[in-house]
Amino acid sequence: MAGEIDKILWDVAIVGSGFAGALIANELGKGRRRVIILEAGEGIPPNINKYMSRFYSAIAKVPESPYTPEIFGRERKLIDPAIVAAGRPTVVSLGAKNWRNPKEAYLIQTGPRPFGSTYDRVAGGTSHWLGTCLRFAPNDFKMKSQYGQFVDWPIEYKDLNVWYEEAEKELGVSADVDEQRYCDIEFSPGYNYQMPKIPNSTTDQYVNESLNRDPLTEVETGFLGMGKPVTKIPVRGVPAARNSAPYRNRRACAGNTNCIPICPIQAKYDPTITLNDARNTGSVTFKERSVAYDIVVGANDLVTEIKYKRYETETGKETERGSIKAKVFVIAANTIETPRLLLMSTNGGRTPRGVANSSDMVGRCLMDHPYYVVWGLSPKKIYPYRGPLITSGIGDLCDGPFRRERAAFRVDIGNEGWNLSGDPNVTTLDFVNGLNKSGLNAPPERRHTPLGDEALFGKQLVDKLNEKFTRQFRCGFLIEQTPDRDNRVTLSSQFRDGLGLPRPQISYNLSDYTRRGFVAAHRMKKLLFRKMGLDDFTKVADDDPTRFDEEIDGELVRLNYIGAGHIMGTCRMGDDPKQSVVDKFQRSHDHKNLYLVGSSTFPTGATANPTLTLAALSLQTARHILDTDFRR
Amino acid sequence: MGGSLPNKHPIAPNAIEDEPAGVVTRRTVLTGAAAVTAAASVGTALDTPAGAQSVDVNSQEHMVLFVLLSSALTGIPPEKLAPGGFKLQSPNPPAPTPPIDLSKSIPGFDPVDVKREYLTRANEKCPAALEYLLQLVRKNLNASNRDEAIIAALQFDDDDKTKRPADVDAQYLARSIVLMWYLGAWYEPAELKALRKDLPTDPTRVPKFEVVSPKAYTQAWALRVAQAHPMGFSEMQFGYWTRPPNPRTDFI
Repeated sequence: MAGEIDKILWDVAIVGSGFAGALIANELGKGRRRVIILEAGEGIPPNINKYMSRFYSAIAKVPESPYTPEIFGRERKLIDPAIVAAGRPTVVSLGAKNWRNPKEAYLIQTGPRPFGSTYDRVAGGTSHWLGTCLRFAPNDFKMKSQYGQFVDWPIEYKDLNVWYEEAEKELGVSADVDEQRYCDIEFSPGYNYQMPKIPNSTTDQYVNESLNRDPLTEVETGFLGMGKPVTKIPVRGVPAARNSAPYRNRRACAGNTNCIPICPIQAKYDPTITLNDARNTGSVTFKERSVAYDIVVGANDLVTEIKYKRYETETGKETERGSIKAKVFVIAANTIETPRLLLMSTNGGRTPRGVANSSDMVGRCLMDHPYYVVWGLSPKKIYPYRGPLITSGIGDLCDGPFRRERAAFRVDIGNEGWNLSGDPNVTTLDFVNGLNKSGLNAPPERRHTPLGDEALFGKQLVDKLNEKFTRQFRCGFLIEQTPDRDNRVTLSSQFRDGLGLPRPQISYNLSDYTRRGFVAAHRMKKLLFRKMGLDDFTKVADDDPTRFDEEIDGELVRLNYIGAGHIMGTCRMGDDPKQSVVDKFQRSHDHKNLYLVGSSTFPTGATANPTLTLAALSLQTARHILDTDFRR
Repeated sequence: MGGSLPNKHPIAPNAIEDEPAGVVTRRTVLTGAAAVTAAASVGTALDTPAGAQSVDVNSQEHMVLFVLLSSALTGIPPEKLAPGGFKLQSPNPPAPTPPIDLSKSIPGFDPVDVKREYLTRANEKCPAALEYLLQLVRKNLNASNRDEAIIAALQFDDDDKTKRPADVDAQYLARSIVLMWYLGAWYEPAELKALRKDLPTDPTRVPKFEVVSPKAYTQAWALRVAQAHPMGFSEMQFGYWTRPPNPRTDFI
């Protein structure tokens, strides 16, 4: 009951049980600290059967589909976020027609462009992650001093190396150390990942063979601006917290091609694993359906308590209120919910801009890796829809002197054919019902006509679908994003959630620097497609709200993006309290017993998926709390 | 079990070419009491009010007919659609030499049994068109080109003036049945028809459908046809993705 947990003076109160919250709780639990976790969403289920059932039944198999709260209500209409106790953005509320509709979209988006990423509010947080465990490259931490762009981090790669190792051990990473030595990334002598690398897919192999069959020329690769001749562009395995052998009582990947949104056999790590370990320490208490809404600051600028509201049903009202008192507070509520909580906490006017916000930087510099996705049809069968969603990519182009001028990009090679654009449903429906949404059911000159040439039955249908599906290719470019002060999370003054709390309001745009990164990515796509002999099926709809047009090599090109789910910034880390929110240990400059953790503290976003870096930072923070706040 | 159908509605005159009009009933056609032709017939029609469910989902015979129909439409062998002993029986063993004895044929003992879900769904939603389709199978049951004959009866253009509404209804239900098998999803025949009409003027129109059941999703054939597996339901082992898949015949 709320009353009982409210009577205790906890050592540490943690808000949120995703990657950062779970990792820190576990370390503190092992250190025999009394910890309570407040989780806004549902708790850890006894098994993932319900999640799987929800996923299999879902008409929209989006990253959020296995998890709560429900997305669709009666007559399959999106549930109005105004009645949801702990709402969340979903991919289905990011369409051209509804991304700015507050009756369907949880985030109140003021534009000018859509913020395309989503997150969950449930125990385990972003369990729908891919499993990618890339480290940031050394220069990613010093963009200002190396390239004159943005800011430097208050830490360097060499400071974080040991924590990267600890994080990899906790998550269990499959990769090959030698293959991961590029862009100046180095490892401790004798270091090895926990498991051998996940082997390349047949699609990866075709990309590598095509791209590197002959040495590349300066004419072909000069646009990259690498400052040196590029004659080869390696396709490297992507380190992943996905078992290539049994690890910590979980089995090896069986290639379900479903890492996002959920691995049906839990071969992929997710934070519920660490969360269960944390609870098994006997020192960690977990409280689900408990939404923190007010951080109370007392004398000496120390946080004294966090107030929360409880609810019983997803669309129910508040049923209870409580307050947690602790010596140390950790906010691990993700990059949008953390600043939302800080901004809501005005302490009756004593912290008018919100808690931890003397710098006015809370909520600012929201970043993602805007994801430019392209599709093609291969001249030979490459057999997608097999293996993990992504096994390889191109990372060698992530760092170089070009960063003085334009954003970097990283290339993901997809193993899931055209699933991102709705397959296998779209193409199957096309050839069964004589439609042409895929563009595959008509010759090239009529590729964009809505009705297709063929409506097939029987063996003709089998032959046609086999021929098309087995040649589908897609890849994506994760573009580095400028940390722009005006890309910002604030509080909506008009729209509230089911508990009566103001919903997050987002303003978001792409800088010229980032757009120049898109241009380079498009040129890379042209090179790749030419080498692979791909027929280009990439199309950008007229009304796509993410669309922007650029003149590239004499051609007007439509570009667009989707969210990568790599939400970063809003509580920037730095040495200067006037320019940043937390220090290098993720401790608030303003309140010495308050830590803000997760990718919200990233000063810059680079191109690597943020999870491993935020995990490493979390473990460093946990050690710091144990060593400083509870020094014997 | 099979054949206990109500004898209420006379079949259309041209339904079975060698039967006098008004004599053949739905009962006789579906139970096989009437003589059937081995020849393919395009344009088989049935004037049946929608809403009456005459197909018995518990009938072995009707299930056998449904599996044969599904096999013809999907291009996937009946033994794969109905694993666990699907077998056509002939009065004169060894089977399956024609003529086939439906009363002794077995739809298989598949514990997963999505075929029952699909037959039930089609029967609940479009009983008349389903009956039309099962009649079509029975009519061509012993034809050497059974699958081709079934397909030929259902493959025609939207603007074919020789087709009656019942023919068109059957065509779209046939497509819905294929989509159930391929995607584990139910697309209403009326929705399929509407999509063809609407998309030229509204290319952003999103198809409406529902997943028949979690089980149906895991049994879907679209990606097995691609020599893969439904996403989130792999029965393969670590590393299989590093080499080309087994031949297509191993999947379907």
